[in-house]
Amino acid sequence: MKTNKAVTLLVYLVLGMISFIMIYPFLWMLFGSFKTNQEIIQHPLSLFPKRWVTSGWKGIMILSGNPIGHYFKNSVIIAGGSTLLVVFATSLGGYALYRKSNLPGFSVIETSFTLSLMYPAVLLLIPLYVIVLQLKLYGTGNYWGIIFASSTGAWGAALPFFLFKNFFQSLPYDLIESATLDGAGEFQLFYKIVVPVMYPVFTTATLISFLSSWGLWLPVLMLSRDMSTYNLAAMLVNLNSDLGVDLSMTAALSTTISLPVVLIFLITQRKVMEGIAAGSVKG
Amino acid sequence: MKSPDNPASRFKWGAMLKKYWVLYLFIGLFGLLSVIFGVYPMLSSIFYSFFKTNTVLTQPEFVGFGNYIKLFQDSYFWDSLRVTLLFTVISVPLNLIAALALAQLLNYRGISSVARLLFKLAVFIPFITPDVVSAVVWKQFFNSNGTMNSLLKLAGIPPQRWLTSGGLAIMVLAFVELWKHVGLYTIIFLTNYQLIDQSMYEAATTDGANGWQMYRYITLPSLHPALMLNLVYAVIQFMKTYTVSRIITFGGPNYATNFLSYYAYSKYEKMDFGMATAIATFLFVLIIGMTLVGTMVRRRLNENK
Repeated sequence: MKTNKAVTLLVYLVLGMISFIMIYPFLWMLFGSFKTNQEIIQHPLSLFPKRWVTSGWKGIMILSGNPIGHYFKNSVIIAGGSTLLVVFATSLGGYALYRKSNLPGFSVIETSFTLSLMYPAVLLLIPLYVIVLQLKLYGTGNYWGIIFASSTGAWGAALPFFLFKNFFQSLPYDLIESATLDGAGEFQLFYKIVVPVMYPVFTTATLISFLSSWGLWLPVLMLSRDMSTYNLAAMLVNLNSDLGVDLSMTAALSTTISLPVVLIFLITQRKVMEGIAAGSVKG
Repeated sequence: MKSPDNPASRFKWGAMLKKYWVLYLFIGLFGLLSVIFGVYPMLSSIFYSFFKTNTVLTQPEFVGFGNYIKLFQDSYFWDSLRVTLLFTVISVPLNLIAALALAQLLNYRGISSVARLLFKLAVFIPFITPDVVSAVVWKQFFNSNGTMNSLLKLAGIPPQRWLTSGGLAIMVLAFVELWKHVGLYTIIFLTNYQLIDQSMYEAATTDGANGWQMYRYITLPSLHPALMLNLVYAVIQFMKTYTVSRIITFGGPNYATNFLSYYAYSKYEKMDFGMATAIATFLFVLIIGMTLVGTMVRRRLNENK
């Protein structure tokens, strides 16, 4: 097909402008974190700091009496724990459902999962709070309630589950059938035939799950007894609700939260974008 | 699956468990998560909505449909339903049309593959950014003396009350949600583009079809699966909107962005669990209803083809 030079230029221009709007908030927070509060307020249109200062960064080193490392560690624990749980549960569960979906009890589990996707996640937290309390998963330094709640369909498990489901459905069934005829047990079958071909989708699911659980804040705020289990995102909500919003601190904390996910995404963009599209198409 | 030596169905459970214990082991964790932390809280939330509960753990008092009757007499609830529907009616077409346009632009042959990748990354990056970060940053942009009003000043337009006038505030939230989610819808359209049979375009070119005709009669109909998928996602997504109103507007000004999720949450914060769960259940039924109607309309459309 022919392409017209003027049209091409126009497409570049439009896409360039849109991309700039998409990226601008990131530039604002990055450069804003090196400005004084006064400069951010008085010169809202200039992007680069007139004078580079680190007061915003110094300000977030201690948040509500805890060093920032404490919240960073909690972000890693919550996102890491929930990722492990989600990938483990959805890969094995997805496989079992694919292998014999008609086993007693299996359809109940799948329907439960699909239904819980529809309920407003925000409000699922009210009963979840009660459950977490009753199961004694709530308390100072107790991450389990947060991790379990974040690993359900309402929060992070939907995409990874559909990703695995799609992948298993694409496996040639003959492959499995011939192995069962050779007398392989269910465990051998999974370990020797499915696991070796599962790596790519496993990586994608891990990435997507981590990216989506890194910024969780509502389950963290609601299922934490105190700040011992707050992560970075929960602290940003806290900082934002304070009366006098400190803009350079807000910018520095926003940068701290975004940087890991943006970097991971840029490095693995192909896998992540294809994975999210693939997981969504079946959802 | 009936095995000949065990025809009675009451033995089925035991026999299946024995034969496929590995699969039951595999599904165990997923089942535990889906039931204990998925469907059980959902059912208990629906259950709470029939009780007068100030504290969930003490003895609840059954009130039947009392919470719902109270809800339907509450003018704030109807207002909340109205703004939620309004927001969805604005956001769904806005996102889908923007994503359709972006996908078409990104698919344009004239741009280099490196540029295409960079544009794609820029459009998608907001989607993987934590929602609280984007809400906090955009909130500053729309503040009375923020970036947006400075831009207007530069263009000689008087400053606007973005977040303090109701009509504008809902538009601001729609814009922030567009910025955040359009990348996902675009990527889903782009995946669909790859499935279009290119020979159709060649045939159309030989027949003398122009660009618009090809878009109208080949591209758009081929994108039907992605369009339907995005439509369902977008409706569910925007009906449940919560973060932006919690962080940017706190449901205001004057309840203009008091979406159902936010309204229910504010009831929860006042320890009014019965009302909070009644609103949540209402929203749940509404979403399921919309999804069902969508599926039925789609089926009807397919039959008529």
